[in-house]
Amino acid sequence: MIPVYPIGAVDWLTTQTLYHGIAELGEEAVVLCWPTSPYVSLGCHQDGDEFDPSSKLPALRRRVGGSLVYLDDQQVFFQVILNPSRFPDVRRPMDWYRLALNPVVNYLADLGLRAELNPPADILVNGRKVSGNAGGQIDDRMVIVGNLLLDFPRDMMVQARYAPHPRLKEAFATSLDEHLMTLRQLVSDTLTPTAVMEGLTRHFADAFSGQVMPAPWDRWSATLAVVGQELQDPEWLRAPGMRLPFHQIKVREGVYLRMPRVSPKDPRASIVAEVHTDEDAIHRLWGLETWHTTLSLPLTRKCLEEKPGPKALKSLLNTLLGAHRQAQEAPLAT
Amino acid sequence: MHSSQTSRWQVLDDRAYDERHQWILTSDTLYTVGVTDYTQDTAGEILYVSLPGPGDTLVAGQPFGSIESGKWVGQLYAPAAGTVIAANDRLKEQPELLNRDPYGAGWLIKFVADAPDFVRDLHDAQTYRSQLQQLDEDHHG
Repeated sequence: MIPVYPIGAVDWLTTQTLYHGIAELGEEAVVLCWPTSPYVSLGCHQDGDEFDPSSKLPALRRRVGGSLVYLDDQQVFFQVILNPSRFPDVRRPMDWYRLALNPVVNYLADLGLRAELNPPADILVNGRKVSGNAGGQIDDRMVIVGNLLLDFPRDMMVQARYAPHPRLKEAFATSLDEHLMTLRQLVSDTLTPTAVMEGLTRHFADAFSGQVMPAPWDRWSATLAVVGQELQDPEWLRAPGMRLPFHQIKVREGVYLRMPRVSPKDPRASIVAEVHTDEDAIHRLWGLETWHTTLSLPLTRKCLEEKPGPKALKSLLNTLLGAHRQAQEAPLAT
Repeated sequence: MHSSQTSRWQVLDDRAYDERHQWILTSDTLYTVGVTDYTQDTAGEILYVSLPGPGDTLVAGQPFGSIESGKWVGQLYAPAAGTVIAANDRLKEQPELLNRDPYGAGWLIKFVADAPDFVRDLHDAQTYRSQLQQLDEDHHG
């Protein structure tokens, strides 16, 4: 039996301290909640410089993976904290995601949506992301966290993400419009966070033989307070992390915006490519005006090799395609 | 260096193994730590490794670093209390070494232990191999 806590609205910091603290306490749980005010959450290994402080949003760094996300009260969070010794057949990250996200996929099916898990951790409807997720090990617990988007103010997300050039932010806004979808767009304008939480509660309780119960705040509060300070600690928050050979923003699994790390005076400095890593192709390009060249899209690595064009540009695009494998979050082997 | 593969995962005879699927290689008073073939295989494509620096203190059983693969953060645990002498800087630029060569170029840290008796609690290669075989059999029923 795993406790399921349909907590609902809590202050922004508590939405993150809950799953960290429950794991540290060695408990298991499924938590459903949302924040009463907006904030930004950075991934455990993300470079601290990718947060744009001019957004004036409060920020923390979580201890699970993934990249920077803007979060607010129009996103319903689900947080699954499990003891791995009770799931001996589940070993790979992909298996943990599947275990924890199946109830979400089933809930979306209840809403009449054909949802699919896009490895490693996005849930897509009609090819567009409605749920972003991440996971990891916190102490001796496996933790999978994510959310369902009821609504998404893409301008706030764009504002929160540092970009070395305004063109990258413009491209980010365009790509988000194309690759994200919200439940209100898909189902109904009247869908509420409470209704989504109730539906998810049923599915998580079914999947984990869960028992719905009130949150034991007295047991948790001291640990959550300490965790809250740790997650906001300036040194932890601003720490350097994964730094790729290009600036990169992930739009959804397999879709990345990439911009070269070159001097601002370099004519290539304002080029942005939307790279689809599963196809090894560039689907969109911004900033080619000064190059007086046209490139038909999508542009695969092979097309790039065969097509005549400025050598410096071709070399750059080839790099942005991801010659460096660490830029890609490839699907995990199963 | 002798190795054997009775399960799907390679195990080397020249080193010891802990409960966290990490290997420990002893050279006089210096211990080298890495992750096993099992860990790199189950993690998937490793994209980032976070390690302590020389001089940092290790607390037995506590995380000393972490790895990320597919938005998943896994922890690396100190096999004993001690002090870090060196960390594998190549992993900053080439985290894929953990997948490619977990027993060689993908080593994580070298440390000196506060007390060397921790090695008595480690498993030899044969014991670890049996554990992996059991894991494999359990998984495939």
